[in-house]
Amino acid sequence: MLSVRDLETRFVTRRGVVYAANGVSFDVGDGEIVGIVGESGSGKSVTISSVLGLIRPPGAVVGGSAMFDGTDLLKLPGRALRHIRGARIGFIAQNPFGALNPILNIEAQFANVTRAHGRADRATIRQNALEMLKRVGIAGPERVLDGYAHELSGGMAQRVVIALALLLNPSLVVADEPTTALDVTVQRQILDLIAGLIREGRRSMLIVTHDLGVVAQYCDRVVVMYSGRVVEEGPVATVFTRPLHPYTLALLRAVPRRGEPIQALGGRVPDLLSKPVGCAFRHRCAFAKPRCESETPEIRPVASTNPLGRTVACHLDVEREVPALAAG
Amino acid sequence: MANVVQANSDAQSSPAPVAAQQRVAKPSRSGGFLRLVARRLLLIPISMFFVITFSYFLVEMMPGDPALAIAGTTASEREVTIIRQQLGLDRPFDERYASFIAGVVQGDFGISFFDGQSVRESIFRFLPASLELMVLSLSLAALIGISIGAMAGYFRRRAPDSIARIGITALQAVPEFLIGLLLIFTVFYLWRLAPPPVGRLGLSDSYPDPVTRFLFIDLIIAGDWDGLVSALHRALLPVLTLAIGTAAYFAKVSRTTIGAAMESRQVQFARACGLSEFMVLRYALLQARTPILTYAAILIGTLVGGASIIETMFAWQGLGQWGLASIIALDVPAIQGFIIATGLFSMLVYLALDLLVAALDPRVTHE
Repeated sequence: MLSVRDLETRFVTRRGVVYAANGVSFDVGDGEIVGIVGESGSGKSVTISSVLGLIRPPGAVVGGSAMFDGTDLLKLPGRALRHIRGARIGFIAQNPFGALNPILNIEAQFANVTRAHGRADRATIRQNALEMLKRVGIAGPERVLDGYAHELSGGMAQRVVIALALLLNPSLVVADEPTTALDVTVQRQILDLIAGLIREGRRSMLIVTHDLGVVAQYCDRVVVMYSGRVVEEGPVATVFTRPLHPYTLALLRAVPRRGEPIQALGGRVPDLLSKPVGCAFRHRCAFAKPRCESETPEIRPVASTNPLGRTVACHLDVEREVPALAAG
Repeated sequence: MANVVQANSDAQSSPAPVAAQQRVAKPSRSGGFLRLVARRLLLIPISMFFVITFSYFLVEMMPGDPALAIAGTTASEREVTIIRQQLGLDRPFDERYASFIAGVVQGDFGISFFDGQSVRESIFRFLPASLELMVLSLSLAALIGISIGAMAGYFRRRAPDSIARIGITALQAVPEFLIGLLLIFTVFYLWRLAPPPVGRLGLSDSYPDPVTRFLFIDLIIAGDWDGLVSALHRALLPVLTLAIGTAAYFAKVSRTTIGAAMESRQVQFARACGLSEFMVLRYALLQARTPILTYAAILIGTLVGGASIIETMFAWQGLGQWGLASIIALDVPAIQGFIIATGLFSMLVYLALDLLVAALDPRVTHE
């Protein structure tokens, strides 16, 4: 479905060049839900923006490829890419009140999205919009359609965003932290709704989050990012039960558990102003070796777990050392 | 006052079933709107009282003696005293203030010290010309300025933006009269593309009957098409002069607001939905509309009566030219009338702006 290889994105700022994505690779299979996790500044959002062609100057995608159904999105001219965005790839934004247009009524926004990808008369647009709003669980779709974004609650507004994203029946949905801006009480409802619509339509989804619980519950596979790189990738079940990268291990340990003290991950994410040499995580890694200083670890398949498609970027003998350390 | 409603956060206490609960609160907009109009209209007399008082004291504190100015340097002491009595300047201060207020309330601004004309008459005679100049130059300025600003904002931090920024800064640094002089020198003197800057109509043209006192409209009413062409031709340079200077301000504010809107999440989402770049720019313009309109209103308020130098330079016979001449001549009633008229005009423009913004933005309620 989507295959991203060696994605490199940079931003030229006054303070210097920010290396936001440095050779990011991952796959999203047919009907698969893939989660990208990492701390703020790990390059999660930049990665999906790059794939969707939403990076604007001073940023630029400088290398790599993103194959979607046989076409490289990164090489596509703007117009062709625009026709894929919104039609074949849906996008669910983080904050619905930031995403929806406050001045146009909701119906106009459905009309604009529909007309961006083809001709349609008003009655058809309204009919489709009503149907879509019903499918995302909005009880009074007529009133919502005639109203404005600010008249909606956060959960309702996000349902409208989901309806817009799925309006043209995309095969891939990209969601950028779809619930972080919402009240805790509605986060679950929204995630259940999204996951349900994805599974039901046999779509694929790429979801960015910093919530490991979300990944554990809704995703098939997980991509762990750190400092603009993928440090570990694999099926959620095995990655979470048997992490191979020290960073994944630290992330999992930082999840609060009942009756256990929280093991916070010390240190900070390095700024990405200098082209990183060596492993970016070494300053916070309890197991760093001299080699981590000088040599950037390449992402590599892990032999014993190969059938599961697990990869990791670490100089340690992850199959023996990390589990041992995790145990100790 | 108009308030922007904050987006409600989701406050569903009990987890709702599959269908989210309806929480659509719709304030009645039309009823509230009329109340907003009424309230803002009521504020105008209060504000105007301060403007009137201010105009009175400002002129009162101005250095120079109008009686002396009228009598001239060779006049004797006695002559000056007589003039002072004629003008009523010998009466005590509070008495003059009270009668001034009483007059203004009745729409009487007094008689000019110099030409003996009713100040109110003069305002109504000169205001239409200024309005015509303002409307034409401001429309042109908005067209040029917003286009440049939108382009610069769209291509933020890229070549078109840098060029526009340099141009805007340069234009803002050049005084308007210099732009006017340069245009007169090139367009009139060198290229002979415009008539000489000596008034709104040529010597051979005849002025139409003052039906509306707006020259262009009166010419149309009179069916004097040659006169209209001549008047438009003569309006070219002053309109252009004022428009170029003003366009820089429009460009600056639209560049900033549209540039910021282009980077907003709203525009990012619009792009992610596959909207065309034209539509994306339209979304950004919708977002940037209010600040640009506000700026336009301020410019309208400033330009009526504030375009004195350009009006004088092109002998436009507008309010600004008249006001400037009155100030130089120490024509106290005329200056007071000028301040009150431009003050009232600005207030009405700001009122119109507030109502327009309230009508255009669905988020503004009128409680």
